Amino acid sequence: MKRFHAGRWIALCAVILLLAGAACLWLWNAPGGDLVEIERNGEMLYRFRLSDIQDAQTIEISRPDGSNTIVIENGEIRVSAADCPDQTCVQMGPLRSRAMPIVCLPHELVIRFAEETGDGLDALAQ
Amino acid sequence: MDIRKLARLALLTAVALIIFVIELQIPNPFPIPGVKLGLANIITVYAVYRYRPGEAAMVLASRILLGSFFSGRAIALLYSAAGGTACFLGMLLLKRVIPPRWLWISSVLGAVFHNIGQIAVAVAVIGISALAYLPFLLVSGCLAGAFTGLCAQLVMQKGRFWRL
Amino acid sequence: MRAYRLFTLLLALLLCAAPGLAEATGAERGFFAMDTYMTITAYGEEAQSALEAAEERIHALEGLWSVTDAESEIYALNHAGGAAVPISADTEAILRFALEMAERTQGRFDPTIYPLLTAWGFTTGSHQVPAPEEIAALLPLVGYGQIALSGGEASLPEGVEVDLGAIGKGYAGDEAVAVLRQYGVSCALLNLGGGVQVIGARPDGNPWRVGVLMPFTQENFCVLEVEDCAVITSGDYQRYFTAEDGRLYGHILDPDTGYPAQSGLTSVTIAGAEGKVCDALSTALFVMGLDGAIEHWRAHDDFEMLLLTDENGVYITEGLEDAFSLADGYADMEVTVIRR
Repeated sequence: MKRFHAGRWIALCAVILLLAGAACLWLWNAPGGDLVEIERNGEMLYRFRLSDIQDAQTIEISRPDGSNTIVIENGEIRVSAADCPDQTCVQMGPLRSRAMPIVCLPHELVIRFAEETGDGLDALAQ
Repeated sequence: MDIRKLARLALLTAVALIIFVIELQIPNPFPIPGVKLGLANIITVYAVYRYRPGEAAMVLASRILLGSFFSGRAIALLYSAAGGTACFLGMLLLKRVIPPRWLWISSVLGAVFHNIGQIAVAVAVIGISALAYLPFLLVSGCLAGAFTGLCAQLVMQKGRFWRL
Repeated sequence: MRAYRLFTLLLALLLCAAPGLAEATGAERGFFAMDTYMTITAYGEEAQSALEAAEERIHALEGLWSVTDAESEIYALNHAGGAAVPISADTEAILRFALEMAERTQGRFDPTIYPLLTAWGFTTGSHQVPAPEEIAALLPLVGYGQIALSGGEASLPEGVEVDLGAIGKGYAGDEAVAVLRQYGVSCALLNLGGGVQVIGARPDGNPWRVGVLMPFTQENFCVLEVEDCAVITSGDYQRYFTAEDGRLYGHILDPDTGYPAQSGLTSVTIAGAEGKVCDALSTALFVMGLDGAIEHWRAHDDFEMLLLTDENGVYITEGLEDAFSLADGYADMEVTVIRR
């Protein structure tokens, strides 16, 4: 067996930790956006601008395999209730970063900021 | 396999399950999907070093399967199975390079493999945007992995006494 | 919130009172209705109240036509077990229109496809490929001829279900346009969950620029410059699932076979004066395929169309020739102009 260099392995762990930590900071502080997409089971359900919504709105997405309640108010979007056991999507709070979508794993629900597209367009028929 | 070994493996699985169920009761302070302490991996890490690959695999597979029955989270099975398999295979390799005295390093890297396995499933299910969670999982995985690894080292030293 | 609205109203009034400043009083409103997200932007002195009235109108129609809301007239009709159900003038009008379009398209658009959509799971999200026997058993329930309409009442044979999903948004768009016009709005953009309707030209006098989505991307592959027009697109990319056999199944079903239409088209965009006609035709022509669509266009003159085929060929009718241009990055697509 080759000689074991503990120091090198510890350095490897430290590098992974530091890189991941830096990536976390970057992701967490990445800018938000305005154009939001809501996807369920890979199907695009809604695409809209947060700035277009003046009054608070609630969207109910219920499917046989579970439901989520999404609230949009004060220019923010978050999941306010979910009938899954882990509730992570509710605890995540409002969508804040372009790089980090809100995800409900059990229901395959994704809420994310979309890239702005269609330069000079007034509307997109889709 | 002799009866004594079978009993030990069963005991090990039971301990892992108990730790798993207890951990379920602890509320998760980090609101990131998939982030958890993974205390049950103390047993996995220990089993990989103490037993033969097939035996350790049995302990891990039974724990993951029964754990998902106990928690009632069918979808979680997919993630923990993928993470568990990646971690297990990775640690089998690491075991040949890293001696038991440095088991915690092996455990940290095992956690990294586990996270990569989890995220691979998430990317398949949800799409490429799930990749954004990898760094968060890695940070928590490294820290939790070091902790569970140190716990496993402790069990290694006292394991003979507990007859595990 | 109320104070905020009052404030904007006062501000708007102030702007109107100041001569010369009131030219482009625009207002925008976004809301969720008919299982999608809608935005309306309108310009005019009464733009704000026009928007509120238009939204109210759309919500009212949604309340009448929802297939899932147990309070709706369509729900009552579908669950009456064969009995006649009283319906409002709005519902009678849209049902008459649906029958008219079904007849015009020889049933390629059929408002009674709902039982099959349910069997495929497109209504619930739990997608599956039904057994051939199941489809064969449901096919007799599909057929617009089974809708009976007379003097404020409608009835369906037991098991037959009506679903206005393929025309409801276009129809509601026309109604919203009518409301906006009543308020003196001469310039507006309605985006009703992917279907676009515009009143007049843009406030700067240029035509509205409406992109058409390249399926399975986030980009538009072309631009249509339009005024006073509805532009509505249908395609199987909008809702589909991948079955265990690895094939994609889209949500536009062929009423003749009960299976997703596979006519060689990827997306069908209809431009015309009436949103409801465009909406119904976008579905029907998708089922018909390229040749059927061209034949239909030559036989009618109330719409223009833009077809995208599986091989990424673009076909436009001559009425769109001047309005059409390919978007950046798609300039090498082959465009064929169809003439009468």
